[in-house]
Amino acid sequence: MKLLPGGSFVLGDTAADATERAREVARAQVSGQTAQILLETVWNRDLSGYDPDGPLPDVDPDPTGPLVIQGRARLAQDPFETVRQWRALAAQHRYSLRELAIRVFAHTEFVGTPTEIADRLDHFVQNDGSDGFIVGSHLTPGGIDEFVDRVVPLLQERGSLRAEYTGATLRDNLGIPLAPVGADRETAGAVG
Amino acid sequence: MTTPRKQIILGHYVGGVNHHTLWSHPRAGSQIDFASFRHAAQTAERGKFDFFFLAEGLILRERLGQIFDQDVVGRPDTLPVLTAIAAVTEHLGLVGTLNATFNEPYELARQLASLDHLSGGRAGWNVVTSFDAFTGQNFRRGGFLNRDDRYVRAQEFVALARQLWDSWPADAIAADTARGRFLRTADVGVFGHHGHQFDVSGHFNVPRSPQGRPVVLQAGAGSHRGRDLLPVPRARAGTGVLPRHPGPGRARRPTGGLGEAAAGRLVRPR
Repeated sequence: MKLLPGGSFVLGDTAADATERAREVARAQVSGQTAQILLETVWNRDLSGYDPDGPLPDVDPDPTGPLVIQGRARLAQDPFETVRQWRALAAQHRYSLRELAIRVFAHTEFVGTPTEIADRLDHFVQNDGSDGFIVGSHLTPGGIDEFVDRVVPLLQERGSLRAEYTGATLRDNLGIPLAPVGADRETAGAVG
Repeated sequence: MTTPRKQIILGHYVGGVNHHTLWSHPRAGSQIDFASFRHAAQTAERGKFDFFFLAEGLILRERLGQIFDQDVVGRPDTLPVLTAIAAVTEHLGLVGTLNATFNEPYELARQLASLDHLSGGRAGWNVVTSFDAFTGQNFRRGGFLNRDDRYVRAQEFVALARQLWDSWPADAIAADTARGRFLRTADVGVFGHHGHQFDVSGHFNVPRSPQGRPVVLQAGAGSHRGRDLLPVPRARAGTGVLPRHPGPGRARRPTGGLGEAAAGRLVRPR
């Protein structure tokens, strides 16, 4: 069993630079209108009348009404509890509607200098937190370039990432050997 | 003597049609041109990544009955993109998110085995279920499964796909000119499954692929039902799980360093 959490990254030349860039990315990801829409996935109400720079909507969610947002996974099992938590978070940090949406929906998992990010990824895996990561970017298609140019060489220097491919197949590279044919056909879903 | 370092597995996912992808950025490119996929895949291969990862989208999102285009809208089908990438890469794994709700096992097992052949053993399948009748209305049966049954179907689906992939012996093709026989034995590809969701039998028609079975992964193991989709004992190698929230107890032992930061949702690009 391999565990591979995912996340996106923002690099900077200094830690402060990375933090500032991540803030800019988050603001670009969540405009005022996007903030309303993201909150609608939980409130299930038309929130277009609420000022993104104002407080959170003062109404309760309406989980039984017709769906406002169709075609994306609903994020909250219990929208009332989610809203309660968000109100507390917004009160604590004096967040506007948009700032709350940015905090909740625009989190970049890996922010830092190349060295900081390489250290954190490597430390996590070496301490068995996971087997690796699935890395994405806010930019398509060139977003991964700077990760490959600036973070990958550091992981390779540490001996934590291959310098060359050694396996012939994906299975070889992942280290997931094939279970013998027919060995456990009874185990539904246990695909090797 | 030093302990060998654990090797970090890296995947690269591309192109979410959600607010995470900044289409208005000056450096943003097309989400559908092959040039975009080729660049991302070849860059990941240059970085010695294990695999390239695509999410699946089956429908356009709507808000109050209207398509909303604050985010990127529209995406190509997963398998043709991965197949095209196979031709311009040599080592990179090709993992596609493909649902077990609206597809048929025979069809999808053929496609994935074919991708495995064409890529020389680099195919992977991220199994998902589809979540609502809104998506289902694009398909013949509509929203035909309730929440629980979609996992029942997915379990049967994966078990059946495995049976199909296992149905050809590795040495089935003899191409024996002296005997004038192509096959070593005539009984290749035999399968049969009689369950609640599928009642099928016949002969699978794709010979055993280089990996035997494409690698199967499962995203978003945030729900217990979702995790149960691949109920493998921990000790058994063979299955990747892509946790949605790898918090303590779910990820193995997150020890410092990443902490909350690692609790990233995986495979958010739906």
